[in-house]
Amino acid sequence: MNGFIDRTLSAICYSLCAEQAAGNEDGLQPPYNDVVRFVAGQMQRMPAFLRLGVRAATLLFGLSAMGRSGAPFHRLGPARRALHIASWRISRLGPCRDLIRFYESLAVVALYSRPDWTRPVLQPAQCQGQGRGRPPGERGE
Amino acid sequence: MVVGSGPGGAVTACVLAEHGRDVLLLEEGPNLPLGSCTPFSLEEMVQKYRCGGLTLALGTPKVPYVEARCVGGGSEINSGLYHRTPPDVLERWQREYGLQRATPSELEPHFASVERDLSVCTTPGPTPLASRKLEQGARQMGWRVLEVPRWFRYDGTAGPDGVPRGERQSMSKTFLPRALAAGCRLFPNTRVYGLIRNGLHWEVRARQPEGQITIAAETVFVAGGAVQTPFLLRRSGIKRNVGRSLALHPTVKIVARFDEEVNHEQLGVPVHQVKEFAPRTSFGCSISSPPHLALALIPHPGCSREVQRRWRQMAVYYAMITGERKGRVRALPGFESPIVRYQVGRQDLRDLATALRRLATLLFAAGARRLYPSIAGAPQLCSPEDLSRLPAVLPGGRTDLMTIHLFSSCPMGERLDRCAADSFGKVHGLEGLYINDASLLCTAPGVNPQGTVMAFARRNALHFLRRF
Repeated sequence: MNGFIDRTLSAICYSLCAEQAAGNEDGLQPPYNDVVRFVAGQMQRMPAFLRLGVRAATLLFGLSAMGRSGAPFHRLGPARRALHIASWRISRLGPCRDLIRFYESLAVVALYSRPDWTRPVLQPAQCQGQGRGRPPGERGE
Repeated sequence: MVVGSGPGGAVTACVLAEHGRDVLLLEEGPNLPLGSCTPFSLEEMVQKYRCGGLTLALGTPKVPYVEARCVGGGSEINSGLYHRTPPDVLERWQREYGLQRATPSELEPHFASVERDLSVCTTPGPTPLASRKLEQGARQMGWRVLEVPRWFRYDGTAGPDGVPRGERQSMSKTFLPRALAAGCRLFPNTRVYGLIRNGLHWEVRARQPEGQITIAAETVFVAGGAVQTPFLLRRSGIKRNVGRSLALHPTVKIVARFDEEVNHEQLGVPVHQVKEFAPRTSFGCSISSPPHLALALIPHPGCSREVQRRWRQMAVYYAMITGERKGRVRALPGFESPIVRYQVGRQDLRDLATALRRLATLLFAAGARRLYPSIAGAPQLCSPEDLSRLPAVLPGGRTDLMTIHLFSSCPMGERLDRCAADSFGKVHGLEGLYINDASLLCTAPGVNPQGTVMAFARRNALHFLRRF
């Protein structure tokens, strides 16, 4: 069961990253193993009672794809995966929306934290003389 | 013994050690240097945030919050923005909680001392443009706006936009080295899970990577923060007025896009806050790196391309209110983490909607071309006329709220029906046990709380020294 959940987690991350990367910059392209590792690591760090709920919901998410597509989520192609995610994203059931939001938040943060996302860091300019700001009360209010 | 090395615990340990007391400081998290990772980065979430930052107050909407778990506590990961406690807040605490000897003039020496010790000051040069946009918009509206000082030491360099750079004066840079120099001993990676009264002393039970330990202490100061302090006390059977009055500052965000560039890789911490509607409401600018922008744009599917193409023209702003409800912190048998519950009330959701509308108005006045509120299904806003499309009450199930300010779970004061501790942090009905952190604050202060926490921690520690 843990393997099924982990494969579902990986497939969800890949699908969400592909959404972000559609038609855009090199820094967001696959592979997304770094994102999967981060999300899996976060799953281990989260409070145990939340982790139980998320893993149970992930299991349900993975299995529920069989009802519509005949295969668990991680065995579906990209288009069917996207449809399944979309159906949970707009579900009337809060826990369904929450699950997608959970994965999406983590995947997005990891993806946009990639080092190749930013320009090279510029060298800091020198101030004119050492500055010390004014204590509170001398500026602003 | 001091449990917790954040702002409350660090100040307590330092004051006690510098007055010759034998102090042992226990900290659950690791001892990492301030520069161990980039501020507000993924690495910081993993290294220094409790549970990787995945902590949540359950309710509708859920309110994610952030707690530090490292030596120095929240001061190692926050923005370093400093406020004194507003006088009207102190007056309310005296009136409604029986807090004694906490007038502005009585607290003045403690605030002044903290401000000196932390080099609290405003920026000696230009401020980040994303932050100045807030100021520009507020001045257009005729609203009160101020530059908030930070605990920061400037080093004479500047970023590419001329904004002065330096180093945050966190606890690991200030009070903790002083405490250690005065003889305080620090045990990091030590999680306290129980306090037991044994005769005239306390048995403090803790876990370290090497195994469990039990330490006898004459006096214990608990300073684990607004969630961990009540969690520890309740697990130890200390429950009166503990963990049933958690307060926080519910916060909603909005992304603004401008024609000009307002953002860059080294933007730093925005420092302006709009206080026209204080104490109930404040506006500010958040950390606006690409990951933070992308996160804030999740409610707007397809707008991630905006981040990819135009993130330098974008920044995240927030509207924060003082929540009126009270949350609960409870221990769940068999689990090492507390359950935190907080139900944002309808009036709070209404006031947040009003605040969001006002903030959007301000941002348009500052020249914003497009706004993206953190509400799933909400429209992008292209002009002030679009504001009528915002809901009058934020929809609980579709709004992204968060908070980084939690307090009041063990309020101080002389009212035994409301307060967990007396006016100086001594737990009611128990000898030798004190609280000295954000959980003591009687209500949400409406401003960044760390200044209040440290000033009261100093005051309370000195009061203890005078008594014993």
